[in-house]
Amino acid sequence: MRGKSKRRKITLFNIVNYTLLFLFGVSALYPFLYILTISLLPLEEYLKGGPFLFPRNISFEAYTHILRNGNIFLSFKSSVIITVLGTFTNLFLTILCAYAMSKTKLKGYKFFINMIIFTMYFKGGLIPSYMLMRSLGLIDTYWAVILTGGISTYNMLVLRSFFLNIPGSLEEAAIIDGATEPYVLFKIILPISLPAIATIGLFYAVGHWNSYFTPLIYLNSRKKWPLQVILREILFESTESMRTMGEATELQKSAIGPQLKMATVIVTIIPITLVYPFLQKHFTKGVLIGAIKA
Amino acid sequence: MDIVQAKKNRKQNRNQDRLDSCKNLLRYIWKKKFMYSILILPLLYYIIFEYIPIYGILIAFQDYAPGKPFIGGEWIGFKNFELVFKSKPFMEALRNTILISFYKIIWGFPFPITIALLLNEVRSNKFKRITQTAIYFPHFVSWVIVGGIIVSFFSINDGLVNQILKQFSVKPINIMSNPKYFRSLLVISSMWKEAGMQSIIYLAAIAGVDVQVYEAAIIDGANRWQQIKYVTLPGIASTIAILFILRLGSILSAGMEQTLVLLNPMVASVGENIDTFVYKVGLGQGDYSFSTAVGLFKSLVGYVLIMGSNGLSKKMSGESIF
Repeated sequence: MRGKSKRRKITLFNIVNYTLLFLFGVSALYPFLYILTISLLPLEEYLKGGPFLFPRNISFEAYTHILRNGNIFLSFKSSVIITVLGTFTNLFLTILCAYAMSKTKLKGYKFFINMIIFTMYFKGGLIPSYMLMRSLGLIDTYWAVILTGGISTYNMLVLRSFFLNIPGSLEEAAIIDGATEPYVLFKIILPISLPAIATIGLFYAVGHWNSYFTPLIYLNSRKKWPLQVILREILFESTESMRTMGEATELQKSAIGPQLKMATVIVTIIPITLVYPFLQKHFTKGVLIGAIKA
Repeated sequence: MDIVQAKKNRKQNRNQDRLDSCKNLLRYIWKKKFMYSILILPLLYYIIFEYIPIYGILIAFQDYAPGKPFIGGEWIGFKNFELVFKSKPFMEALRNTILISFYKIIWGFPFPITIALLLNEVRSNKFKRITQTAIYFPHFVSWVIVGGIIVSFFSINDGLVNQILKQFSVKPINIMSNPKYFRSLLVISSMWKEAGMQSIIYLAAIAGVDVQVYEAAIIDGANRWQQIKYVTLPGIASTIAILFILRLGSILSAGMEQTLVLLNPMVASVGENIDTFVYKVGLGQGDYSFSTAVGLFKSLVGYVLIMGSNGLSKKMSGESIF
C-alpha cells in the first residue's frame, strides 16, 4: 500500500485491471479443471460428444481402471524412489557444499567457488554425460537419474547466501563455549536454517518429480520408468504403448481412453498440488534470494 | 668463500621457508579439517559429474564409435565441425532455435512485466493473493502435464477447441501437428507456464521503488497510467535491462523438455531445436562425435553470450550476476 487515498473508486483503470488479472488467473487454473472434468466423465456422456466445460455427472470409472490395472503403481513407485532418494542426496551434498562455501576466509575458497560457478555456465553436455554414466555402469539405475544435477549450483548459492546472513557471532559464541565444528553445523546452523533447507528441498523434490528427460535417457527398463515418462507415452504415443504395454492395451483400446489419459494426468499432479501451499509460502523468498545473490 | 657460504645459507633458508610454509599450510588444513572434509564429497561430485563430461567433450575432435572406451577414438581435428556446419538438418535446427527463442523473447519477455504492473495496482490484498496463487501454479507442473493439457484442448478428435468448433460447424483443425501453428504453440505454452512465476522478480523490484516518488507524482496530479509510465517503469528499468540481457544470453536454448514432449514428425521441420537435435543424432542414431561437436558449439556460443551479456549489463547498470 502506498499510503494514498484508500477509497476504492470504480474507475475504468480498475475495471480493466481486475478483469485482465481475473482472466489470467482463470486461464492458469481452468485447464486443470477441464482435465479433471474429462477424467470424471461417465462413458455414455462422453460418447454423446462434447464440449464438456464443467463436470455434471461424475464417474470414477477411469480411476478404478487405473487402479485395477496396477501398472501405474510401478511408475508411481519409481517416481517416489527418485524423488525421495534424489532429494536427500541433493540436500546432503548441497548443505555441505553451501556451508563450506559460506566460509569465505577458508584458504582455497576463491579457487573452489570459481571452479563450482564455472559449471553453471559451461557444461559437458548430453553425450559426454551419458558416456560417463555408461562408463560408471549407472545406466538403467536410479543413481544415474539421481546424480544428474546432484548439486544444483543455483540452489547451493541460495542456501550459501542464507548461511552468510547468519551472524558470525552465533558460531563464535558456541565455539567459545566449547562446541565442536560439527556440533555448530548440525545443532546450531541447521536448525535455524530449516526454512531455507525446506525451500530448496521442495525445489529439488518438485524437480525430480517433474523430470522427464533424464529418466528417459538413463532408464531403459520399463518397470523403472517414473510417471512422467509413462504419461508422455500414454498421451502422445498411444499406438506404440498399445504394442508394448500388454495389459494396458485393453485399456487403450477401450472407449474410455481419453478419460484414462486425463485421469493419469490428475494422478501425476496430485502430489504437486499437495505440497503447493508449502511451496508457495517459500518459493518467493527462494526466487528473490537467488536473483539477488546468485 | 664467504660469497659461496652466503649463497648456500640463503638457499638453505629458502628451503627452510618453503618447508615452514608447507608445514603451516598442513597445520592450517588440519585446524580446518572439518571444513575441508565436508567439502570432499561436493568437490568429488563436481569433478566427476561436471568436469569429466567437460573433458569428455574431446570426443568432438575424434572419430568416436560407440563401444570404445571413454576418449578412445581416432583424432580427426575439426572435421566434425566441418560436417556440422555443412549439415542441413543442423542448420535447420539452429534456425528453428533462434527463431523460437526470438518469438519467445518478443512475446514472452514483456508479459511477466505486464502482470507485475497489473498486480501492483491491485488494492485488494485478497484478490491479489488469490490471483498470484493461480498464476504461479503452472510453473510447478511438468512439461508432460502441460502436454496433457494441450492434448485435451487441441486434440483433433476430441479436444475442447475442436469440439467447440464443431458446434459452429467449422472443420476441425489439427493444431498440434501443423507446422503453421507449432511455434506459436511453443511460445504460448511457455508463457502460460512461466510468466506468472517470472513476474515475482518484477514485483519485488516494484516494491523497491521509493514511495515518496509516488507521493510527489500524485501531488503533481499524475493519474494511475502516468504513475506507471513515469514512476514505476523507470524505477524497474535496470531490473528489466539486466533480465533482458541475461535472456539474450540463453538464446540457443529454445526449451528442451517442452519441445521433446510436444514434437512429432509432422512438425519436426519447424520445431526441432539444437538440444533435441543433439539428443536425436547422439543417443538416437549413435553419432556421438558429431552430436558432441554440436553440443560444444552450443556450449561455447552460450558461454560467450553469457559472459558478453554479463559484461554489458555491468557496463550499463553497474550490476551483474557475478
